[in-house]
This record gives sequence, C-alpha cells and structure tokens, in this order.
Amino acid sequence: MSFNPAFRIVLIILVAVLGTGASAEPSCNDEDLRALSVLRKVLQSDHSTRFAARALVQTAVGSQQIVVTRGRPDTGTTYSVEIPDHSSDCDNLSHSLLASPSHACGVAQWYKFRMEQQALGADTVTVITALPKDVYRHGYQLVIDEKNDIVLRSTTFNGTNALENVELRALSLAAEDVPSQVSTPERMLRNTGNLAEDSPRGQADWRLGWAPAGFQQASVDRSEIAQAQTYTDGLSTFSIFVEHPKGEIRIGEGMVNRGATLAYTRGLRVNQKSILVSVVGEIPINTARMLVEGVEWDNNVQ
Amino acid sequence: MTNRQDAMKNAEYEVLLSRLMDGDLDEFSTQRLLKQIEVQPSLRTTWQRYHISRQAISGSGVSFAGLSIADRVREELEQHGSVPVRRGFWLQQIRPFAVAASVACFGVLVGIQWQQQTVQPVTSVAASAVPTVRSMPVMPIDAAGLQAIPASFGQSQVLRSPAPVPIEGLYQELARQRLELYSGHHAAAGALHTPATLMTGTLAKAEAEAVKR
Amino acid sequence: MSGGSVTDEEADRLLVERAQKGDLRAFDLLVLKYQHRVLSVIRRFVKDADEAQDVAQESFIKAFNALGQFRGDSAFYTWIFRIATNTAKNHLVARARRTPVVDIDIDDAVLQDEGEQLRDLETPEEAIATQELEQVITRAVASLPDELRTALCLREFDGLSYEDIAAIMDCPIGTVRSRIFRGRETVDREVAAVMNGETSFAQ
Repeated sequence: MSFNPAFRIVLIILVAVLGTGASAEPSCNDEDLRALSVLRKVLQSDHSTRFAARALVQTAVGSQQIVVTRGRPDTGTTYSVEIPDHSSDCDNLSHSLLASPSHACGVAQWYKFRMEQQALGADTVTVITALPKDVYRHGYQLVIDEKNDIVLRSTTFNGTNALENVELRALSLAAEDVPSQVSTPERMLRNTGNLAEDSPRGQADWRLGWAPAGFQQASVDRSEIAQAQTYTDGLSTFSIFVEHPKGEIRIGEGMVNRGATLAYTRGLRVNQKSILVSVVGEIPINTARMLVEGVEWDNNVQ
Repeated sequence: MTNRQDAMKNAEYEVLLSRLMDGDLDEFSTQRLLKQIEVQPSLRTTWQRYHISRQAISGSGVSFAGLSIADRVREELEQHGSVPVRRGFWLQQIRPFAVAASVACFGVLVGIQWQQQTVQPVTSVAASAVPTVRSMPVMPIDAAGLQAIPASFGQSQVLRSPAPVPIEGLYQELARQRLELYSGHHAAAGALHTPATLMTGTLAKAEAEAVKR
Repeated sequence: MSGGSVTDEEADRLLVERAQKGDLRAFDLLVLKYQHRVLSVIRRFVKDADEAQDVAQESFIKAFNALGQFRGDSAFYTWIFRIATNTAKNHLVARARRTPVVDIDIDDAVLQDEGEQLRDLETPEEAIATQELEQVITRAVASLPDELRTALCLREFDGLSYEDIAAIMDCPIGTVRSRIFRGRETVDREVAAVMNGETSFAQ
C-alpha cells in the first residue's frame, strides 16, 4: 500500500485555510460529523476482526517494524503488540467526547475534518484527516478499513511534518470473526477519583489553571512518587505528573520526544519547595510548557 | 627509586594536578608541578583526561576531535615561540559559571531520593546518550527511502528511539526517564482511548511492559 | 581561596601568570584545558575539520604571543575566545568565503554544548568512541562510593569551592581535597583505559 500523504495534507491545509479564513470555525459541517461517526465506530466497534500485520513505525529518528495483532495470542516466538479492545470501555471520557458530546459538533469544535474514500486494490479505504483549529494540538490522519474497523495507517503531524507514522503491512485477517477479548489497559498509577479520602500528604495540592479549549479531565491518579491527571479533547491526550522530590533540585526544563509522544519535565520552586512537573502526551512542546506554567499551586504545598 | 616509590611520587603529583584544576594550588607547588611535567609527560596526559572527565561530568559533552591541537601548539612554540612581555596586572572578576548539567551527578546536590524504579540503571542511561541536535527533528510526510528495520524477534523491547532536543542536559535526561516511567500510564489513561492516538498508545504500552520485564 | 563557586578564571590565574612569564609548560596546560572549547567555537565558522584544527592552532599561537597584552580584565577563556573568533573570521575572509550571518554572542559561546559541535567533526569511529567514553565516565562516577561521588560532583558539576564542599559535607577541607582526588583518580583509570584502547564495551 502506498499513498502520497504529503501532497494530500498540504492540499488539505491550504483548502482549510483558504476556505475558512484565519479564524477558527465556530460550527461544523456534514463532513465533520461523518468523519466523527466513522471514528466512533472504529473505536467502539463491538465486533473486532482478528488480524496480524507487520507495522512499519516511522519517526524522525528512524523506522522499525514490529508485529501488531488484534485478538490473536502472542505465539511466543515473535514479538507482537496487541491492540487493546475498547468495545466495552463505555465510560471513558475520550469515547464520550466522540460518541455523546455535549455540543453538537463534539470534537469538531477543535478539529477540521476532511474525509475521502480511496481505492486500495479491490477495496476502498476511508482517509480521515483531523486538522487542529489552533496551535495547541497536533493533527492526525487515519486510513481506515471500515469494513473491518482497522486503522491501517495512523499519522500524527504538526504543520506539514509527520511526527509518527504507523502503517500496517502484510495484513492477515482471521478466517472468521470471534468475539473480541476484553483487554482492559492497566494503569500504572492508582486511580484516585476521590482525593478527599487520601491522607493529607496525598491530597492534590495543585490544579490545572489552563488547558487548550476542549480538554477535559479524564482521570486523576497517584502513586507513591507522583500525582497524575490526564486530559483529553477526544483525539489528543496529555497527562501531567507532579512529584515532590526530597531535598532541593536545580530548576530547569527538558524535553524528549518519541514519535508523536512528548515528555516535558520542569523543575520548579514553589513556596520554597522543589517540585518536578512532567507532561507526557501527544501535544506540541509549547502546549506542554504553557500547561506547566498554568498550574495553580495551593499555598500549603508540601 | 623503587616502583613503589615511583608510584607514590606519581600519585603525589597527580594530587597537585587535581588541586591545580580547582585553583587550590600555591605558586611554589605550581612551579614544582610544572617542573615535574617536563620529566614526566604522563602528567600532561593525566591533566587532559581530568578535563575530559570534567567536561563529561559537567554535561558539556566530550569529543575525541581536537585532542592533538595542544601537541601541535607546543611543538610550534618550542620551535618558534617568543617570551610574551607581561604588562598590567591581574584583575579578579567574578563571572557566572556556565550552568551545565550532568546525568552522572544528578541527585547528588542535597540528596534527592528517588525510588528504585524511577532511577534507570546507569547502563541504560548511558546507552540512550544519542547525539543531540539543535533543531526539532522532523520527518517529511513523504519520507521516501526509509529503510525498514526488521523486527528483532525474541527481544523484549520495542524501541522508538527518542529524539532528544536539548534544553538542558540534565532535564533532558529527566524527561527521558519520565517518558519511560509514565508513558505506560499515559497510554492506559489517555492515548489508548482515542482513535487518533490508539497506535501510539499501543506502542507505548508495549514498551512500558517490555521495560518492566 | 574565597568561598562560593570557583570559576575557571580563578583556577587559571596561576597558570596564566606563569605563561605570561614565558613558561610554555603553563601555557600548554591551558591549551590542553581549552582546546575543545576553542575548536568548538571555530567550528561555527570553519566547517572543514582540518582547517578548523589549523585555525585553532593558529589561535593559540596568537594568544601566546599576545599574552603580554592580557591584563585580566576578562577571563582567560573569554580572551582566547575572541582571538579564536577573529582568527576564524580572518581565515574565511582570506579564503573568500562568506562568514555566518549571525555572529556569536560571547555568552552564547560560553554556554553552548561544545560536545555537540565537535561531534560533527568526528569520524564514525571517533563518534562511537566518544559515546563509549561518555558511558564509561558516567558509569565510573555512578559507581564511586557516596562520599567521593558527592565531593566530585559538587566540584565538577556545581563548581563549588573546597570550603563550601567542606561545609556541605561537614568535613575538613583536606578531606574534601582527598575525596575529590580519589574520585578523579578512580574515574581517570577508566578513562585512561578507553583512551589507550584497553577496554571493549560490549554490553
């Protein structure tokens, strides 16, 4: 399978800019809603075609091939990545934002969608491009096999530069569909939906003072070393981790990116105490910086 | 002089080198040291190595390029050099230290205590010391010519090499550690739940589990 | 010696004074100390590896011959840096090449990661060796006993004086001196092994 996404995305961006002008659209159109409908279906499909494929993972520093499977057990001799199933994950905020948004346009308030059908051999695939309406989030392009609800290609981009490209090749589908295995992704940190029950040391002593429009808090968690909050707008997500190191640390900031995922860490002094704040997410660096700068600290930060 | 006496004497001068590096040597000892360097060239090499280590520890980065410049300068000066005429006097002026960062020294200053699982083993920290680049590395969407790297069957790690963008070396390393530490949680809490980042989250989850194993 | 941080300027003072009296050995130690940084600065102007090293050599020769004019108004490295940049620019003019549009502010030059610039000059073999060297140093420092590691890091990383380190570690200055030296000596054994090609680092 080969596409020429570079030209397409440039064209789409040009059309979006020329068609809508410099300011963000306050409303959405049929194309947006159709694209959202396809995305909802992919994510919440209650029938999952089992498959295995070689995935080419491309980032700025190189590429790698891994085996990606859905619904097929690890054979043990090859390394494979299992795509978790979400069909029963009804209460996840990201799903809700896509499936049952409070606003008629849902996620399309923050992204301009383009949708087109393309021939792929004897089949047809759907190409959905989500262009961010502001500079605080990345854009995405997904190539979807609607018949089997498989994302054949997933590209995260910023401007006209791709940050990560995952493309399935040599796809082999299972002979028959079987009920998908429920596989709930396991969180590393303990979910503390009600922080009031925690010890005083563990109570959140901070809150996010600013986030790009459309992001809502998806979860609050903590571990022995960090308090974490995750936010999503339905397509993009980020998590903030706050640590209280013992002793002083030098203030500063640093960042690495791995494909589409950014990790930004900043050492701060708040109320004469050292704090380490990290943002991990699929967002631009400036957004991460602004998130950290917008954190509001309680006066009794410990 | 016996070997043991030689070794002790050598160590004595290496101590002087160490103190000279730190401005802790008096004029007499400096002269004595310089005199000894003439008959013991290994001290000169030790001085160079001490500074290479200092560069690495302070986060300035080391390089093998340019190691021979001093030899060439010395040779030329010995053949053609002139004695400079000293004028004026020394004025002390305090300049701010260039604030650098060091992975090796992270946590030493007033004792940061990290839980064992948050501190990467030195080998893996060092192994990720990829050359840094000034600008954000970007890959054109139409990336022709990328070579596919076959999957390493049986290996437990999925690696999407991080492309470091230096803001400050120490914090860059901290960010890298936090990426490894938290990307699995972020995937589970966020990235896995949107169609746009599903694959990204899947890979992150797999990498996090591979690291745990 | 004053407390607080120990700058290069203070550490260089004796060597510069001796070099100004014509002591080539003292100047040689200064060149050994600063050759990487000077080369890194020159590298911004002169891209060719051999030419850059020639210009660096020329810069140090010029600096030695001009030592009589150095009055200590600035740090020795700052002074060398100015000579190096002027030498590099003159070299380019002589070669009828364009100089970079953006000049380097001296503070930027002091703060830049010189290792990064120099990596462009390295051959692939040198690049691998550099990476191994950094790994060895990092490992060696991390493996030091706590008190040696702390003393060494407070000195090399934080630039603290012996007095301040003694105060932080609550020990005599002589002990600080000894710990720093023992830390350096231990790390140096590993570095020497790398630079002498005595060690392989397959992991």
